[in-house]
Amino acid sequence: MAGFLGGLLNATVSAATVFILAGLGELISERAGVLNLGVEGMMLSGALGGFIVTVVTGSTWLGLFAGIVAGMALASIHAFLCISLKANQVISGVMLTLLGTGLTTFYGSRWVENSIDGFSQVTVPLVGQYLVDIPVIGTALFSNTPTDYIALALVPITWYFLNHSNMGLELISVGEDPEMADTMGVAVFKLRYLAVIIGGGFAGAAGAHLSLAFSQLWVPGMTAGRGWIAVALVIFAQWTPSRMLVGAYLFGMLDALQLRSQALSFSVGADTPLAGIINPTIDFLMNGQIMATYPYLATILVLSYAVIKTKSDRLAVPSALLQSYSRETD
Amino acid sequence: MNVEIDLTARERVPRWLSYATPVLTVLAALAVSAVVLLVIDVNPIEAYRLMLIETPTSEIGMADTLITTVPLVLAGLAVYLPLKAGLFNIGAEGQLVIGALAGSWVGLNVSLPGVALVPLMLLTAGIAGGALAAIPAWLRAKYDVNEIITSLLLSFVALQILSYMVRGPMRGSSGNFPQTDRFSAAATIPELFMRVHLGLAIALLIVVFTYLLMTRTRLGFEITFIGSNDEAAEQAGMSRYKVYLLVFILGGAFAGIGGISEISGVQGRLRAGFEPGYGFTAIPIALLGRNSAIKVLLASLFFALLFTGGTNMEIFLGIPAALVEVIQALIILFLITGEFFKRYRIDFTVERDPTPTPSETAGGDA
Amino acid sequence: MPESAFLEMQNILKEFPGVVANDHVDLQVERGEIHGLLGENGAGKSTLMKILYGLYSQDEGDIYLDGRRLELDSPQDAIDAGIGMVHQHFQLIPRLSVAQNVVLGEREPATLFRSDGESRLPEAVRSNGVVQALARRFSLGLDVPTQRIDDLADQYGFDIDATAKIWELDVGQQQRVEILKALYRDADLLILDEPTAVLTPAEAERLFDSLERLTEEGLAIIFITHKLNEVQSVVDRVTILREGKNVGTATVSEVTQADLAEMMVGREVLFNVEKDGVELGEPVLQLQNIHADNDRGIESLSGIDLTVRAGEVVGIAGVSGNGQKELAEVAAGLRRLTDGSITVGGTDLTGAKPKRFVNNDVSFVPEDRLRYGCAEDLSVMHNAAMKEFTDERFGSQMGLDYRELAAYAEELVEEFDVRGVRDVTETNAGDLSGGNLQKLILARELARDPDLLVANQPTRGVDVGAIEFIRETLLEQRTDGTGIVLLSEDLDEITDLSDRILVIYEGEFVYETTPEAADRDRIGLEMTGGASTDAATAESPQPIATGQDGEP
Repeated sequence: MAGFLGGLLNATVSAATVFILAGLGELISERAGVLNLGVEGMMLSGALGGFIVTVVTGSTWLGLFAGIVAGMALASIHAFLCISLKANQVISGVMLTLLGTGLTTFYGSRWVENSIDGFSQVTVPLVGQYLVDIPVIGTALFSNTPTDYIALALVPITWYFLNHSNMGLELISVGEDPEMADTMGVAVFKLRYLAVIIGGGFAGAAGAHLSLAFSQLWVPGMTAGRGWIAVALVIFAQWTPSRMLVGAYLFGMLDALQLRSQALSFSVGADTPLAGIINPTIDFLMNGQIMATYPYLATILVLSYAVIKTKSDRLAVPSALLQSYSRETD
Repeated sequence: MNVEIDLTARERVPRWLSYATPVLTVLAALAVSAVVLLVIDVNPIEAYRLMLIETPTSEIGMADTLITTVPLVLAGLAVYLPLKAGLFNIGAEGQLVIGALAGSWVGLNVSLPGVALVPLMLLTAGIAGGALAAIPAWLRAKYDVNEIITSLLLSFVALQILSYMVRGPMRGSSGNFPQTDRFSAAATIPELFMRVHLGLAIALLIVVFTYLLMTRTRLGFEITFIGSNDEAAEQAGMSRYKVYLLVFILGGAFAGIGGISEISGVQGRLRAGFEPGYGFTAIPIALLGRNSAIKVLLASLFFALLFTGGTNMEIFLGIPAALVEVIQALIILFLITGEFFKRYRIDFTVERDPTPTPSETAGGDA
Repeated sequence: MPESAFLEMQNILKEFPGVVANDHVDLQVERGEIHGLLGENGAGKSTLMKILYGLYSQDEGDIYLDGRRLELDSPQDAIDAGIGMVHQHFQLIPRLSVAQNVVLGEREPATLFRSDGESRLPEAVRSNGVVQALARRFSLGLDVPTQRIDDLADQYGFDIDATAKIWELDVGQQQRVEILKALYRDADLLILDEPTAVLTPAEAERLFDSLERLTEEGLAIIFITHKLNEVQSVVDRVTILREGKNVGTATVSEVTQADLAEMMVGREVLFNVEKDGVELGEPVLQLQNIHADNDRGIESLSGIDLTVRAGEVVGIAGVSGNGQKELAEVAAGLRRLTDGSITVGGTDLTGAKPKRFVNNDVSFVPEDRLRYGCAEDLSVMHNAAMKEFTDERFGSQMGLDYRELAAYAEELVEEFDVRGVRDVTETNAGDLSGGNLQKLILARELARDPDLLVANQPTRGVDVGAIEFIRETLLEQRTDGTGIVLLSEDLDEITDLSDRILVIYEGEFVYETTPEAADRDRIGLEMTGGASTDAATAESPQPIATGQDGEP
């Protein structure tokens, strides 16, 4: 059981990293008022870009960088369409996913055969080894890939950026009330571009982590819906980085559990009352596919609860989300 | 010297522009895709000839296109109808899948003669699709919960449920594949011609129904009005609640029927991941055809052609079908761009004499 | 007049398509004064101030502040020049703190990096350009600003906690934050756009105190209003605008409220409409003790009683924001009551849905044509049939005959002389000019032959020709036995068309008269709350007889 738990925790950390990175990127974009439903596409291009560069150069770090650039490139299309051309953010985002999926499947098919030496586990220096030896949680906490640590570090950095820097303050104001921000001299268009493209970089990094650290291979469509979970996660976390960390680990654990669900079996004794109902119910609820629905259902519940219970002017959603801004000319 | 770009919203879209835009955008997307083809050493002209001319002119190609049109147009209407009421249903994918699932269950577990079984399957599929769509609609109508997010997320829930069912309770007796048993003859939608099944006729009937609904009924009038200005509509005594639920449930039902007809009429059994994202392709279809149900049909035919033409390109030219997805996405991205040029007029003015701006005084001012 | 005032706006001209919003307006404001800007809605006050705040640019004319000529291309320019503006809709982000809202756009670096004040960092590092640029972007120091906000708040007697979130503050406090925002940016001139519209009387008093303190410090304040008692109590000098023109500037202590009311409302009668006598019929609308909130949840109707009979036009006069919009919406079934009852033509419709009002032959011409009156993107046909499409003649059961609808729309367009319609099914409502759109809306509402018509500002923003047509049409409808509630800020319109005039002020009827007995100055005073402070209290509140006939 300890071995199982340890493995689960390890996998949870790695899976959570995907959600943290992609989720933070989406969070930044949405806080500036731009919904980007292209996360899945940006992640795939990050995964493929990162993988190809790693295969060619042999450097995982260059690969990670390439993944980030690939994500940013795709995001800039969205930024241009939604910010400059005031296109519908939903349609543009969905198309970005289609584009990213198509392009990576198209160009990625011949890279499937390749193998790489991806990011390896790094131990926390000095005292590291002793900590890693702690049973069950040791490796999960103290022996992870660099991308895991980077993702973890980005949570407080993003929090700090949004809440304790002038750029963050201006970015939030752009997502709340672009017209007012413009009046106060905030560069609305520039900040929105910046947010969307940085968000794309984060998604690209999430994809690169997936291909370079998580699975260390490339398969078309390998994100398997994780980009959509990241979109859900932002809502689940109600647009705050700290809650996103919690949500990412929750969803990450579900992700890790799905692969291991067959190894799990919980049941009550056959003589317990209602055992005939309880046991199949547990089986059903612990089924991998059924567990995969939890992030979505939880998000719908959180969103509905927040909307129903909160006064409309206190909702966590950025007030100007989905609204394009054009300077009024007279 | 200062170049200034001035955007002005057009007061009226010139007529020629509203017709030219879709054509030009499609051409532009094909042009960009041509570059992609050239990169992989494929002659784009040959590829496009195969896709856009040979496919629809060959019998098999035409039949395949028509077969693919069925789920596409039904899912397209599932997005189109809410769009007319000002709502965004991006969950047609899930409604299609859940319809296929519910219909398949009936087809596999109910024994009735085909005349009764097939309609029952279609009905069940419609109800299931409608029921799934009702959730985001109700949350929106009653509590103003954003329907875009909820309908999208429910799609993924539906996809997982499908995956669960074909691996678990509905898995067929033959082998370990995540798929159901083959449908019996009674549970198969009859063929019309050339493998084209009765689903096409049903889809066309639904197109006509939707067309009539929108252009010949009071309900259609209400939907249009609420979609354009719900506050004025409420003032006139129309009910947002009723219309929101109605368009979503009807749309979901159409998508559900599209799902089961694809399974029962084409594939013969339900598999996990049985369809290549028709529900998402439905979004651009509805966008292209948003002016009428007939245009939704035309847009569906075009996208069906892209799908089957893509398959042909794969078979005859060795081009991955994924390229079709790229072309589709490009067409839509260009379409969005085209929308912009339709709505705004762009003027460039070159301004001389930049007024000297006072240099910014740095430093605090406490 | 002094040689050169602190603020000089000279000969400002601003035209919008079809309207001259500011017709060569002059304005002088001195340091240390509260300068009132008085005028009815549409008189050009807002346009003038938007020009001064850089939101619009004038077509002609110059602006000088403290002797310097200003080029204002954006609000940023105005702020840099020392002009601050407090809008009616606060420009604050509710989820952020007071300090965050105040410093937004100012790029205050963390204390460590401030070039002033104490810091452990060596001066050379702090004053380095790159360090400054980075610190201004990637850090945010609220300590020093908070201190400064607190100091400012102390100085002017504001009770603001700089760390509080905006949503935690009440409206009065939020307004003070807006003022702080301007003061923080060293504003010398403060523009307040109808600042009391959102305040309770007690909060307004506080605001006035604060404003006096500000002027003592040498600030100039422009106070936009249309309430005369406010002018009387805080303003030093007042400039009155009417129809885009400057009618005059007066020192408040030297004029009476009646003088001001006359200047603001004007005396000229634009149109003389012949009115036939009509026999009054049964009551078509009875409102009893109506209480309702506005969109912000503040009570804006406080015990309205009103009975309108068939063939009667009841004119409701008042300056905007005194509950007219809410009253109109209540009568059309669009606003929820917090108390009271509505009877339409003998049917109790308290709490009923809009549909039942429509079915009980209530017609409504809303104040905001584009928002509530029509669907801009739909055809004239759709808009003409917005209410009548349920009628049997357009098809039985579910069906709807669009050809009949189009024919019907053409009839209306013809009969009401709606111009600019090429084809009723192709021309969109949004393509019509304001006057023609209003005619279309009126056509739709009147062709139903309603028992009750609620018309809110039916001629606002409408060209002169259409105004006359609309007024005549309303009177024809009265002759046909429709009871009409006419809400208007145009006193001439009210006196010309009404059988009975009620003045609404702060959600209550404060005065009733008839056009024959009407004393315009008195009405003007009542509308602006002027009478309530002096004359009215002595005369005792006017008993409001609304013609109730023995209803319990």
